[in-house]
Amino acid sequence: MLRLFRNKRWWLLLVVMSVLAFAMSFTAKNNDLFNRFSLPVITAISPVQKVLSTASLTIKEGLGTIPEIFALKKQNEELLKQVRELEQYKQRFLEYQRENINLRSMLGLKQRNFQYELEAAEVIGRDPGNWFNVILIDKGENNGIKKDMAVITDQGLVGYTISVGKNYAKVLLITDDRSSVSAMIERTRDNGILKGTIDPAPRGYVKMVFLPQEANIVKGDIVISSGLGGIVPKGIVIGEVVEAKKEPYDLMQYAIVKPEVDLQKLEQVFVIKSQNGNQGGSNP
Amino acid sequence: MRMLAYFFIMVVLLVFQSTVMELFKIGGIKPDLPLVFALCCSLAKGENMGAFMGFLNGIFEDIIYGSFLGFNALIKFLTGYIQGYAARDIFKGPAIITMGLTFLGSIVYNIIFIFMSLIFNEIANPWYFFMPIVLPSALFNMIISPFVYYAVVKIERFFDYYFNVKY
Repeated sequence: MLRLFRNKRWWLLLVVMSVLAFAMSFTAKNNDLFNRFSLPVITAISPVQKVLSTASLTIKEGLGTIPEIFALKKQNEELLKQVRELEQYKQRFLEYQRENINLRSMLGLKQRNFQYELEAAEVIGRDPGNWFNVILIDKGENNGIKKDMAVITDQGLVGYTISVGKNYAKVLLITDDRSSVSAMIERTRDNGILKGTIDPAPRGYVKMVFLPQEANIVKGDIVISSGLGGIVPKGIVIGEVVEAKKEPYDLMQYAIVKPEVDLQKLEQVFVIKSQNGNQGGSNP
Repeated sequence: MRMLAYFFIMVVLLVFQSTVMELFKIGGIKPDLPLVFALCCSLAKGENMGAFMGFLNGIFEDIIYGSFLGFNALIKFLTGYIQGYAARDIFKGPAIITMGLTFLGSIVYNIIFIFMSLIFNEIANPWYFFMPIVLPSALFNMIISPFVYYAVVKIERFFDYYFNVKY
């Protein structure tokens, strides 16, 4: 043991480990200091990352379409059928909307506006490891983006910003183990919390926990954001229930949810900056 | 100067990893090119070089994708050091040895990662992902390791010529 401590190399190893441990505890508390390190590095590499990211996504999409060619005719017929059905739904929806406006005005309720102030951003990089699900986008503080703002696509929720620099932002995807979003089942209005890929959800799926035991949840139910928690506005589509299970020794049940957005093929996203004039995100 | 060149190589590999390597993702898992490079450096040049390359790889990962400094840097620093120290007296000629050592190095990396995640509360249940993440990623890393090792040896020879012989 004494011989071990006489060895300079072990001391050096210990010093490096201590310095890194100190850096971890210090930068975890001091976000501004951490951003001072991040800003020049990300600014320097982001143009190259942007080009490579776009090129690789184009190749990926190109490769993905080759096997799809054979199924295009059948898919086209199905889509035309769906368009006809959706046209009918649209008419019905417009009618309900008009009726809703009239009824709300009769009851004296404030009109709800689902218009968001969006900022379009491009995905310029992804977490290099296999454990975390973080993406890097090319817009930041200069474009009015703050920490804890919801990030969406035209299909649904992607995640929320966790760290913002002058011209970049890091987005925690909903599939990340550290992610947590308040959600509800659209049909039954049961509330729960949507967690990233944790036991027993398969990778790429999310788990909705704290659902009431008596909730009648079935496969195919749509999950939307509940608006609780203040980060993600209410009503954004998150995904579809693929499995619902009651926990045997608990008063709750959980559902495995397949995200609506293909998080592997993200190219362009929108950051929700505000809704109804209320600024999103946390103040610095 | 040689360290500066390796610094640049690591930056390029990390940019490559977070963009182009997405093309090689199978089942949500992709090979970790910068980690394999650090592991191959530790095999070719010893534990100090492995630790340095691991540290570089980790610190860049922390800066670009992390929310604080040092988490990945410490994990990859330790992985590079352990790999180089453990493989000190092993003959690394055949590709199969490189592949085996890279496989073990990747497992060591993931085990340290899991322990660190538990300490820092980064992931709720990391052991659950042992089979779906650790083994496939170690296999992926193993497959690409002979090519990366060959590249490391070639780079070293070039640096030896350029920095030691030519000047």
